[in-house]
Amino acid sequence: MTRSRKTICRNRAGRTMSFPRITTGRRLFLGGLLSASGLPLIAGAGPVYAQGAGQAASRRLRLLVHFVPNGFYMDGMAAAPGVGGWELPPLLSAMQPLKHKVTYLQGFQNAPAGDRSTHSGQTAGLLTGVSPASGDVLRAGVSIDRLIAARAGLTTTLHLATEPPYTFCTPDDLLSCGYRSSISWAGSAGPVPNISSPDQALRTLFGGATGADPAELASRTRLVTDYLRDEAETLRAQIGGEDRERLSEFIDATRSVEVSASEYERLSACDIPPGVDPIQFGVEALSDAMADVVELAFRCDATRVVTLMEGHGASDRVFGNLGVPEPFHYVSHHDNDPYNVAAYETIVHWEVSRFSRLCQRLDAIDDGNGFSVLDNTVALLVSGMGDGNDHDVSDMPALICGATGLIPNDACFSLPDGTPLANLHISIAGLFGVELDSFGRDGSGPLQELQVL
Amino acid sequence: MNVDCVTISAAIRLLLLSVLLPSIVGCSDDPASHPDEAADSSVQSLRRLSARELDGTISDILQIEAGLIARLPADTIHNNFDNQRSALRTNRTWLRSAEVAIRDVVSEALSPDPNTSARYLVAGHILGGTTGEVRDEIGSYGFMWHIGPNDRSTWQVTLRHSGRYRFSAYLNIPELAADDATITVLVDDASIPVQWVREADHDVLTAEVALDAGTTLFQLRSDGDFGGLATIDYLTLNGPVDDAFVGVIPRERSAPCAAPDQAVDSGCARSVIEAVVRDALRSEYSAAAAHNALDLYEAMTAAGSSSEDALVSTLAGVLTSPGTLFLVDRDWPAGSWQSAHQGVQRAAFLVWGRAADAEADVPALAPDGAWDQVAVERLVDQMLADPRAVSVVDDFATRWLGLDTISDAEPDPEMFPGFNGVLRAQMLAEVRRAVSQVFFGGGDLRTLFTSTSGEVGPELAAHYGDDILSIEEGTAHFDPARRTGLQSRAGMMMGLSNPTSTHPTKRGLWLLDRVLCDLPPPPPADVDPIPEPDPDSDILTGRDRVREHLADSTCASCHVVMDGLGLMLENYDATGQWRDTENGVEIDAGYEFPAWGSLQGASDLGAALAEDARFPTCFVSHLYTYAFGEPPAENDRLVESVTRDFVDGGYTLRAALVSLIASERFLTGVAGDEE
Repeated sequence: MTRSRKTICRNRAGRTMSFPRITTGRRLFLGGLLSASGLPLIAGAGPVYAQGAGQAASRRLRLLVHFVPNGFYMDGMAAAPGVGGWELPPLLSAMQPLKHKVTYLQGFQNAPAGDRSTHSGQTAGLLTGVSPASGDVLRAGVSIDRLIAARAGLTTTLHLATEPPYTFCTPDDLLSCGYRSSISWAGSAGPVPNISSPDQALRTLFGGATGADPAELASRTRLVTDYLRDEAETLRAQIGGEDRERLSEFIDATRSVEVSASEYERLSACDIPPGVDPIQFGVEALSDAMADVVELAFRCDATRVVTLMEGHGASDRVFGNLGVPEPFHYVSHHDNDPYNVAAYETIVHWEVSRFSRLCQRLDAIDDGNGFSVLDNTVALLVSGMGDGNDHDVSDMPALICGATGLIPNDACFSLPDGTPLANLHISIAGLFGVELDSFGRDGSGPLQELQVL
Repeated sequence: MNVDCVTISAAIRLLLLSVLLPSIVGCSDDPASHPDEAADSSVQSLRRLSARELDGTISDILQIEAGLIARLPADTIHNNFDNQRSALRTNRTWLRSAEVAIRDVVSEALSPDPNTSARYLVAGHILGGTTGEVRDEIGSYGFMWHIGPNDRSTWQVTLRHSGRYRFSAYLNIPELAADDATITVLVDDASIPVQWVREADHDVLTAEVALDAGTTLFQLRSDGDFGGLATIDYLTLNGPVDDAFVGVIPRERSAPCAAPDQAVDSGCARSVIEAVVRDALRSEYSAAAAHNALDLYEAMTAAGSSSEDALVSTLAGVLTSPGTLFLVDRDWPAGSWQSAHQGVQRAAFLVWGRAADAEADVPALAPDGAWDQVAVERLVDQMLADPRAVSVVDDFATRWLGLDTISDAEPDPEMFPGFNGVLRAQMLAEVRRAVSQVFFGGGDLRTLFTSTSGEVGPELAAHYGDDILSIEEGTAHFDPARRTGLQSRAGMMMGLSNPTSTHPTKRGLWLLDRVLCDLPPPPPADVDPIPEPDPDSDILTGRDRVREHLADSTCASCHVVMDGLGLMLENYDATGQWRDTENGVEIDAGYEFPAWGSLQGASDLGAALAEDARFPTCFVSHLYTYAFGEPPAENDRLVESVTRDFVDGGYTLRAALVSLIASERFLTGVAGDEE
């Protein structure tokens, strides 16, 4: 992590403060340069992902979606395209130790989320590629993490957040503030809620997996799930319409409770800590604790799909630990005010450094056959928008760390104008063997840029 | 593991009483009204309980503080509340978490470990801490108090059971602390002997202390100089640690299902299961449901599980079953035990935020199963008089009025060095108390906006300063020109501010959304936030900051009212303290409204809000949304009729509740004739 100098800023109230200032050059690429990829497309490479998917099939691939709220200060995110010799932009400097495993993509558009150019629509539309429904019903399609889990037969997914849902909010653009609390959506089953306690996340993943005979545990959980299904079926038979759907959802969910003896055996063999101190102090400590959970979950193969929200979609958290007393959302609407820009950059840099730290920890875990856990993870860093100042969804960056050998690593691409973000989702799904022709409202196919030789 | 039959005390009592005293659970000679007889009905709707509702319900059934709010994924807040049908789903992630958490709770209830956690702590409220000028790392998930010289931090706990508890304070004391610096622990103002222990990276102050059920105040008083960097990182209370305490009932009063180190008596286990099923499933209880749970227990033991493990898993299964997790509305035949039971339970979730006890509450609240005006009035009076009714303030009003913004606000310590945790706690206590007095005292809800008195603690009284004309027994009488209504209270004004400045637009939006239900259309996507005041520019005051809103005709169409409301409150800074000037410019809290005419300050604003015809409908709409788990349709006839009753009844919470609960839609989920 490079924090090059301290800048003393003075805000309009005349008070001075200092916080680390990230060296940010002017925007590196403008206009037409952004319209074309900086790299030649790979011609005649056959079916997209043919090689990657083949490798993936023999590897234990995981998905980590690491969401950060309120977008990025885009002047600090622009990088020249290239492979190997490219340079990380200033706000991504914390990724330097893993640059050889980074794939940076610039210039996505998430037009469906732009229909509702607000934090609610952009948070819920990020992984779903649709515009959420207004009104009382919370619906935003199926997010790519859920789709991958379902199609790839991955029963257990983990959804984490380091900030609880908002306490005061008024709907923006007639969309419920509830849309800001989840990036993972389960179709008619609505938002997938996040676990915001590291201790409970551990319990959810490993609860009951220690200190008992796996076969007996499995037998007991199977009997319980049968009982739950029978009770739900009895009730479902008496109702119709949407409520019937709710019971169907419950019945489907009982599968997550059922754990086989072999799963118990595998989980109990893992070195599971007895628990996490439930009392976490502040933003950084909680972020650390959640990273511990993700690391453990992937190391023990307790789940292969994790979403982690470092704040809800319009986070107003105050980063006192970074010396920024203004709420995050406020400074993200920087209006090019130097004080706000510096504060915004400081927070984004911190977020990227958290992601980098987690990736480095995953990279330190041997996953067999010469790969680290990070090598076998598609670790995606994204936000609901590009520049938070104007809720821009026409120029959004996304960074993948890991997926070594499955996509071009140590590479930076500038995508053609209007490239749907949903195409990235299609590409990621392909790595998991989930072939999609389309996704969301405008996803039309995988990204050629991510094809490997 | 020791398992007491009476560990599940309420459930067991119900079982026994239901045999001995059938009438107490609404049974009679009429087979149609017998709990074990199924009546014809169809399900009208169902919704999952929120984590909060589930926590209260399971805590009561198991007689343990389940702590499920922290153990479950956070419920999505929708329509301002946490109990909305469309947001409360049971997908895999949620159910997996719930199953694990509930299984843990059942295990803890049957085999409590006094050394691990304060399982019998009903509530712990931080009443105040101390802050120095550094205030980093205070987050929503934990608190840290900085210990100043000659300072105090206060922790209020409420205990379900009397007994001996182990209190510990985890401190970080730097080497800079003076040798004679000391910390004294006081319990209800009496100092107690403590021990210093070094544990990992903390200095721990610990003491074993006898506590009575109910509320206790812990205080940590510092004397001497701690070097400015000492902190209290957290406090714990574990227990009861009495030898005789093996569950929620002392051993001598229990009939154990298992002697120490012996297997659970299966007959006793079956009784516990049946009783828990009856409590947990509420009006969905049936003999078949009890048999299914008993079959589950038998199947587990037959498959080789120990009776203890089988009991835990079976109870966890019952408490995770749809009958427990979902609030099911059926059109039960009028006069059936299920009909009255369902009505009581729905009212309990509305007023108490948790299920009613089938044994104690249902017969008392609906003794003859009647659901007419008189019966409902009696029920509402009983419910509001019950301590559990605190939920209608803590849950409904807190979200309706956004009181929790006070907890979340983080005034900039550099700009507001006098702000600290004690002040925050007293601010929150003041507004909660104001709402409680009106709610439970049968007051006119409009006085929330016109009241000129309030209960304030000493630090808050100092914060208000000259705004208080007199204080009598903790009740401050304010200068009406300065402090009239909630819209003038320091806590609310702080919660609706930025850390460094006020936010007129946010304050106005709060009133439009929560009090008048007259939200303007959404702003354009690329709208900039209002600028901060800047003494070096021409943006000196709140009025200057929203100048662009009001000058642009497109913006002004909405902001003319929204910002106007906020500008009338500009005399309150970002900690709610009164100010006459901002950046040397006298604050103008006057505003000309299209509908209200010319008004000046919080007092005029309060009068206007109280007289505005939108308020009663708005309040009833919020109450409806909370009661039904979904917002009313436009021009909903029930909202109209409840609003009429609310107004005719003197704008009291009781009037609104009676009208709502007495409606056929509330009882059966089906629109009634009164609509």
